[in-house]
Amino acid sequence: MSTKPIIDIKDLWYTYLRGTPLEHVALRGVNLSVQPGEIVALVGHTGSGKSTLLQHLNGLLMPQSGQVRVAGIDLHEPGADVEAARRAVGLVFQYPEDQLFEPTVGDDVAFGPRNLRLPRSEVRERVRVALESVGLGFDAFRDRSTFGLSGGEMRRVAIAGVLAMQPQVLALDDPLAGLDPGGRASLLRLLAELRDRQGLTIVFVSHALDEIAGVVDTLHVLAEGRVVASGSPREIFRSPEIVLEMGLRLPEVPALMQRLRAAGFPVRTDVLTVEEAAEEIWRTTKSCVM
Amino acid sequence: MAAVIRIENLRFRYPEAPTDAPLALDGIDLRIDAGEYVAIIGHNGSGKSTLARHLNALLLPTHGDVWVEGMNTREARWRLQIRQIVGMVFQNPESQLVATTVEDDVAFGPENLGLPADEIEQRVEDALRRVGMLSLRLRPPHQLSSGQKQRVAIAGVLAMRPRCLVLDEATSLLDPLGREDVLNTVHNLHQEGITIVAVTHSMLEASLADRVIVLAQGQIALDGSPREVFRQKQRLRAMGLDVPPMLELSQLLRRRIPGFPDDRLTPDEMVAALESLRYRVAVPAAAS
Repeated sequence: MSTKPIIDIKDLWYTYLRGTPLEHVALRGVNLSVQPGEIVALVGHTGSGKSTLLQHLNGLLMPQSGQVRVAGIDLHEPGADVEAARRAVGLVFQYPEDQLFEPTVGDDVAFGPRNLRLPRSEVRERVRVALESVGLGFDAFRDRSTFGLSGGEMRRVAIAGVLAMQPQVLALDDPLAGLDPGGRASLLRLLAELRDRQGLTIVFVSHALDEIAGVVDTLHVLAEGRVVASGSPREIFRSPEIVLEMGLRLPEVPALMQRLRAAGFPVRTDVLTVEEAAEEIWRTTKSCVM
Repeated sequence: MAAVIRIENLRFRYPEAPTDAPLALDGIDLRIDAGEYVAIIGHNGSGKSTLARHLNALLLPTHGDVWVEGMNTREARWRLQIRQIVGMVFQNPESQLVATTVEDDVAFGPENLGLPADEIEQRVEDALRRVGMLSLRLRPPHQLSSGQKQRVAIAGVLAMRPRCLVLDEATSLLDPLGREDVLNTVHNLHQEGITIVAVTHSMLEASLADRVIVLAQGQIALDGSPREVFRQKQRLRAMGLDVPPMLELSQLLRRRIPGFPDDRLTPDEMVAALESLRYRVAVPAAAS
């Protein structure tokens, strides 16, 4: 892609509790660039720096060293417009439903836009669009109590609250955590729809390589505060050594293909779905079966 | 086989739920024998965790009965004994650890039993050895990885010498390595003879059990070996559940390769099936 990146990070370092005995280097020279409209996943073992990196995208953490340019704003420059960066990048924390606090769904989603002092009609319109974009009907949900919702619905309401601020980038910290398989699949579909229909750029943290592979354009593998591999899921699965070294596990299907290859089946290993795997296994075995 | 847990016509409504809300558990009959490894799966809200909490009297039936080794959970006099026999491990390891070192944490339960000090020490050591955490006994729990923390939580339960371990989504918040860690530990404990009941969202984890129970709307919808249960693909889909990817691959290959087994559940089984296929076809090819 040749367009200008919407996120461009160069040689970013970050140390927690700097200058104290508890100091801990979380990021060690991260380079990362994200194109507009891209769906990007940051994957890595616990403590690899994924969440720290994510929190730099909207100035929640400010760069201690290195460059962070987000939606044209240079956060590393003194006097950078952090507010503008926060409008451009909506950050959804882990378990965002814990932060719902208004009694009704509509009020919760309206909280941000109201703080912008927008006219009432504009607030209402933003809430309507935000709720519809996360698949919750405005009329059906706006007066519902936030506490009577399912876990998946609560998470969608929390995401709607961020969307109501009309960000260009949606950054989510482990958005699948704690949801059941149906809820996880439908949340991933939602992320893809937000990109396809509204052109949002999506950056999210996940452990679930197996589930996200079909949705993301680019995986960035983090380890000990560095990006150690980047590429499409296929590229990463083709030579997965780095993923395995980093304490991640390949999804079941590409893992099977690796094992078959090691056992002498001449199969490709960069497959994502069971359908592709069946095709590939059939292609390489039919000569002897038939 | 002796029943560790026996449940008859269990119905349960959360006291705070509106009276017209559906029952959380609606007529469960179930027997779990000593030494079984049972996975309980189901959609969110299907009643899995509610059922798990009935297994050691954390919740009591609205109607019906639950017996643990013959003791009715309704009877207060059995409650301590029941909780020693059936230990629970919860989803979030952070919220289960209480002490400043690993060994103090594991000692917490036995200390509350008022056991002599040398007995406590022996139990703690034994429990930590069984989960592979003995070398980290002096560490503060917050320095451990999520999988290690969950193993310490399991050790804390083991120190009570339970005969049955109930894991309520005990791996769902762990990263992939932590999950493997805990699953290996659970496998070893099952080999030692401990009865395992694992509530899980993961079909891969469910396929490691000997028996899978599927809950839907507070009732048992399916109950059988993983192979029997996962063959019911349409019914599982209708309940919002997936089947293991290897089973799906198995079925796709069966359409192309006559006689290929359509029920392989794990990657090991799949590799074995494909290798025997190669062997099967290699022999006539060599003969011709």
